Amino acid sequence: MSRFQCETTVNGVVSTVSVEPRTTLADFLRNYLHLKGTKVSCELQVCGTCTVLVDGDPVSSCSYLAVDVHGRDVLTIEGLADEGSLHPIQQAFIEHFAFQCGYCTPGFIMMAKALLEDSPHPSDDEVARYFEGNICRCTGYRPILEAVKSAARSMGGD
Amino acid sequence: MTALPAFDYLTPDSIDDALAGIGESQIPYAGGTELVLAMRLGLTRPRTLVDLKGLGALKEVAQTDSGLEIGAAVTHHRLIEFLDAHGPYGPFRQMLMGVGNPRVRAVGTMGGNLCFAEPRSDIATLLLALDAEVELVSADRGTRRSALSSFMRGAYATDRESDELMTRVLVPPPDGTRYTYLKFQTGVRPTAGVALIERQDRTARIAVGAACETPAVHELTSLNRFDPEAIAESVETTSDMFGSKRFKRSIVTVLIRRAMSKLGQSHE
Amino acid sequence: MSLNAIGASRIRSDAVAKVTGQAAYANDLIPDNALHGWIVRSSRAHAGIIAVNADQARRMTGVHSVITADDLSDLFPRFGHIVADHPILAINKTLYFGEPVALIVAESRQLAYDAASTVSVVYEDLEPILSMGEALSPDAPAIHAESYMSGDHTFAQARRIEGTNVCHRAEVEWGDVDTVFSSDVAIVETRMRYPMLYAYAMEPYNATASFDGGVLDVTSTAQHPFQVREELSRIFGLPLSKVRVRVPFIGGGYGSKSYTKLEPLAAVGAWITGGIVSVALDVEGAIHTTRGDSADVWVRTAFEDDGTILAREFKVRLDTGAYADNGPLVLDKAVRRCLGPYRIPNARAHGEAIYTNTVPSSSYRGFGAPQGALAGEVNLDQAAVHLNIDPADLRRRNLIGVAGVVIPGLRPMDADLVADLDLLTSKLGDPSPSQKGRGVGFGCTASDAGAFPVSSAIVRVQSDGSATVLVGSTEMGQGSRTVLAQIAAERLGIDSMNIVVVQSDTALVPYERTTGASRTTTLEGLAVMRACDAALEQLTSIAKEHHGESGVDVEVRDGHVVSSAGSSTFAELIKTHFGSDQGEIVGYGLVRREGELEALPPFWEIGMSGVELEVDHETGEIEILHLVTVGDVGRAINPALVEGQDLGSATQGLGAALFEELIYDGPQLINPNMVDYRVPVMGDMPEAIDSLVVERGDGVGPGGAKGAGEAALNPIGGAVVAAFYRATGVWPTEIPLTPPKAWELMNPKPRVVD
Repeated sequence: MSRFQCETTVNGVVSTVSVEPRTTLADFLRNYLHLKGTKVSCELQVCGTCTVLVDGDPVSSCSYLAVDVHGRDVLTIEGLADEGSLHPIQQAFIEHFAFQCGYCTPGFIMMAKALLEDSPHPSDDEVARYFEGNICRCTGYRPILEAVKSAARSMGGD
Repeated sequence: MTALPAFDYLTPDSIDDALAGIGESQIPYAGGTELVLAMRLGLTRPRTLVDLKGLGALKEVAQTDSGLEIGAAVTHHRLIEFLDAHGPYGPFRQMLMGVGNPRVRAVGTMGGNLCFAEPRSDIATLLLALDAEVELVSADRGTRRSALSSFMRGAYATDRESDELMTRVLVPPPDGTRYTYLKFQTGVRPTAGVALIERQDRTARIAVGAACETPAVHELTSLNRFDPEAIAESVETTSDMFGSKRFKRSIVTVLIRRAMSKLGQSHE
Repeated sequence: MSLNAIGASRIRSDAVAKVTGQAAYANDLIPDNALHGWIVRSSRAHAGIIAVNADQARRMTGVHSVITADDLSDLFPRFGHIVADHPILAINKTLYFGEPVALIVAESRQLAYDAASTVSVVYEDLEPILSMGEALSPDAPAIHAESYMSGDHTFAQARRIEGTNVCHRAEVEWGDVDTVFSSDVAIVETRMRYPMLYAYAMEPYNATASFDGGVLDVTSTAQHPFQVREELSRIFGLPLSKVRVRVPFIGGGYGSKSYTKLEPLAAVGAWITGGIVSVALDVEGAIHTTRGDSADVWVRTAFEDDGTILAREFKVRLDTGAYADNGPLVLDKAVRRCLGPYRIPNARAHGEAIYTNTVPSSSYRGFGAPQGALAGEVNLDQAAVHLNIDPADLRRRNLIGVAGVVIPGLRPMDADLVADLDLLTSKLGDPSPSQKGRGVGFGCTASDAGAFPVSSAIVRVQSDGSATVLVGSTEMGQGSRTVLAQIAAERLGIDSMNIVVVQSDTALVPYERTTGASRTTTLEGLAVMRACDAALEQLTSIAKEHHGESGVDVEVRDGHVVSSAGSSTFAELIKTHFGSDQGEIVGYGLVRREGELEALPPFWEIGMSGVELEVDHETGEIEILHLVTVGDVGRAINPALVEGQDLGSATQGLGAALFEELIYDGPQLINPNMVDYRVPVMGDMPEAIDSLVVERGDGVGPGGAKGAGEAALNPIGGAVVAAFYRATGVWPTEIPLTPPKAWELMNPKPRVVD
C-alpha cells in the first residue's frame, strides 16, 4: 500500500510527513509530530478526548485520517497559547477545578474553544448540548460548565 | 489504539477522475465518520478510499424555486449555517442540530449519511417524509435521479451501484407544508424518530424511523382521522438493549402524539 | 501570609500541566525504540486450548515474537495478590471470552495488530458458566480446578469451597437473629440486583517494560506500584530491589487500576525479546480486563412498631468473574458494609463471591458498599411505607451515635451521622413532593475505609528552605499531589507552592501499600506529617547545637526555628550546618498499625446522598432535578477537591442508577464499547447540585481529617430507586433504571387470562 506525502500546518508550524493512508490524525499528532497532549480513549467519536481543531472545526482525531489534513490547519492543545502563557479557557479550567485526572481535559478545552468561537455567550443549555459528545468520568461536569461560562465572560471583554 | 486495516488513497480533483477511481472495493468518502468506524470494527476492508473533498461541486448548497440542492459532500454543520440564513427550513435545521455531536456535524456529510444507510438515522427519516430525491452519476450511464424512498433498500443498503457517485440531495420547497421531526434517544443513536408533515390540502404523512431497518412512510387523508397506535403497531422493530418491541411501539405512539401537538402550535 | 496549607482551596499542583497537555501519562512516555505488543484474545468463554497456530504471524516482517504460556515455563506464570489464580497468558484453558491467549510483539502496534489477525486458536469447548445461578447449581463444573493460595496476612485468604465455584465466603454475625425473626415482629424483606459495571477510566491500561542490567523497569497505569512490584518479583524470581515500577499521572483509576493488570504481559514481552516492550489496550481491551462486581442481595429486617431495628439479615452474592483479583476483599467489605450505619442488636450477613466465565471483576469505587446499600437502604424505605414512618425519621431512630459500636471489634463510629442526615434532608426537602411524577430519595452508608495502615513518606528540606516530599501514593485525579503538599506546608510552616511532591516510583520513594480505599489524605498524610516532624526535629537540634541553646525552649513557627535567642530560617540552619549552600535535611515518617491507628478501620467513610427526580410516565425517562451529597470528612485539606471528588463519585453513582450495565448475551458482552455502554454526560446532570462539606475534626488524619472520594456514590442507587417509587408507586428490583426498564415497571404486560 502506498504512502502519502501529507503537508499540514499544525499549531502554526508546517510539517511534511510521509504516512500510510490508514494513519489516524491522533496517531500522526502523537507519534509522528510527538505532540502528546492529544489523548485517545473511546475511538468511536463519542468521548471527545481526542478533539483537535481542523480549520477551526472540532474533529475526533482518532477517527480522522491524517491524509485529510493535507493542506489544512490543525490546532491542538499545545497550540492554544504561547509558551509560558495560558489561554483564558485554560485559566478558567484551573480556577474552577474543571478537571481531576486530566485525561479528558485537552479534548474539553479544544471543544470549548470551538464553542466560544461559534457562540461567545452560550447559555447553560447550549453548553450542555455542545458537550453531549464529551465524556468526563471524574468531575461530574458542573465545574466544567462553570469554567466554560467563566471563560466566555473573560473573553467577551467583560 | 486499534489499528485500521491498510488501504490506498486517491484524491481526484474532478468528478470524472473520481468516477474513474471508484469501484467495488474502492469506496468514495468525504467525512468518513461512519466509514472509519466500520473499518475499525472490522465490518469493511476497502482496498482504496477515494476522497471527494476536493470536488467543489459536491460542496455547494443552494436554494432555488425547486427547493434545496445539497451537495453530497456538504457537512451537516455547513448545511445548518446555510439554513440559518435561508428559511423556511426550521424543523429540518432542528433535526440536523440533533444529529450526532458537534464533531460529527462538523465532519459528517449528507451524502455520507444517506449512502451508509445506518438504520438509526434522523436524516433519512425526515427526508423521506419530505419527498427528497438523490442524484447519482456514473461514468457509463450519466446522471440519474431517484426518489429517496427507492434509494434506501434496508439497513446499510442502498441502490447506489459501486460505480456511482451521489452528487446531490434535492429537497422540495415546503410550499405551505407544515412539518416537524421528533425523536427519542437515550444513548448515541436514536431509538425512534417520527417525521410528521401536513400539506396545505390537509393530507398528511408520517415517517417512522430508527426503530426499524428503513423508515416506514404512512400516508394519511387527514390528521384528524387516524390512529397513532395502529401506525406504531405496524412498525417492524426488534427487542434489544434499547427496549422491547412493546416499548418501542409505545414510544412511536408518544412521538406521534407529541409531534401532532407541536405541529398544532407551530406556524411553519 | 497564606501558606496555601490545610483548609485552602488552592489550585492543583498539576493544573498547568493538565490544561496545557504537558501532563505525561504512561502512554506518552513510550520510547521511540520500543517494540509494541498486541494481545490475541480468547473467543470462548470456557474451553481447553488445543493449539495456537501462529506460524504465519511469526514469519511476518517486523514481528519479533509470538508468546504463549508455553514460553513461560521458567517463570511463575500467574499473578493475583490474594489468590494467584490469574495466568499471564492462558495456560491450557481459557476461562472467559477476551482472555489473553497470546502476545504478538512487533516493530509497531499496527504490525502487531495485523499479525494478530492471522493467529488462529483451536479450542475444545467446555460448558460455559455465565451466571451465578448456573455457577451454583449442583452439577456445575468447577471453573478453577486448583486453587493457588498466596498473599500476606493482611489480606484475607480466599475461603474457597473446593470443588465448587465459590471463590470466597465471608460472614459477620452477632446476637441471635433466628429467634428475633421467628417472633411476632414486623419483618420487611427486599431483594435487589446490582449490575456489572465498567469503571471507564478514560485512559485504558498500558504498560511498558524493559530489563536493564538485570533490573526489571516498568512504567504503567497502576494505582499501587508497590503491589505490582511484588507480583513481578514473584513472577521473575527477582529480589524486590531489582524491580522498578513507575507510575506517572494516571488517567482515572476509581479502583479499576488497583493491583496488577497488564504489567506481567509487557514484562514477559521484554523478557523474551530483550527489548523495550509496550502493551497498550484500547477501551474494548480494557473492558475485557477488569469490571465491577454485579450482585444479588437479599435482606430482611425486623422492627419494633416504632421503627427500631431489632435484627437484620443479609445474603450477598457477588459475581467475581473468571479470576479472583481483588474480589475476595470486595466481598469482605460488602458483607461488613451492607448492614448499614445503624444500631443492630442482632445481625447476620453472609456473602459469597462466585466464579463465572466472565470478565474478572475487581475493585471499583464503593467497593461492595453500593451493592449492599442498594438492598439495605431500599429495605428501609420499604419498611418506612410498611410501618407508616417518615423515611428520614426511621433512619434517625436507628443511626449509630457518635462513638457507638458499628461492628463489634472495630473502631467505634467517629462521625455524627444524625447531624449529617439532618443536613442532607434539610437540603432535599419533602420526600413526596406534591408535584406528580416527582420523588425524593436518599440514603446513608458507612464504609470501613482506609485499607491497612502501612504508609511512609520522606521529606527533604532543601538548602533554600523549599521542600520535596516523596510518597508512594499515585495521582489519578483525586489530588494527592496537591493535598500532600498542603499537609507538609501546614507542618513545616512554609508555602505549599514551594513544596513539590514526587510520587509513585518504587526506586525513588518510600513504601506506600496502596492508593485507594480513600486513604491517602489520612494515612499517607499522617506519614507526611511525621516525616515533617522528623525533619523539624533535626532542624531544632541544629538550632540548639549551633546557637548553644540546649535546654532553652525552642519551637518551630512559620518556617523558622524560634527561641529567646532569635529566629533562624530553615535555609540558614542548613547552611550553617553544612557550610554554604549545600546539603539538605531529610525526614522519614512511618505509619503503622499502632496507637490511634490500632483500631481498624482507620476511619469510617460516610455516605450521605440524595436526589430529587422526575419521571416521564410516557417514555420512562428519569430526569434528576437535584443532587445533594454530604462529605463528612473531619477536616477538608482542600475543600474544592473534596467537593469535586464527591460530585464525581455521585455522578458515577447516577451512572449505575440510570444508565450503566455491561450486558452478556451468551458467552460474550454485547456492549464492550462506549457507544453501547452509556455513562453520564453533561446534559444528564441536574441544575441544582449541593456538594456539602462537613468538618468536625473527628478523624485521625492531619487536622482531624478522615478520607473522602468514594462514599458519595454508595447511597445513590437506593436513593434513585426510592425516589422512583415515590414518583410512580412502583418499586424497582434492580438498577440501572433505563427508560425501557422504568417504562416496563410502570406498564407491566397485561397478564393473559385463561
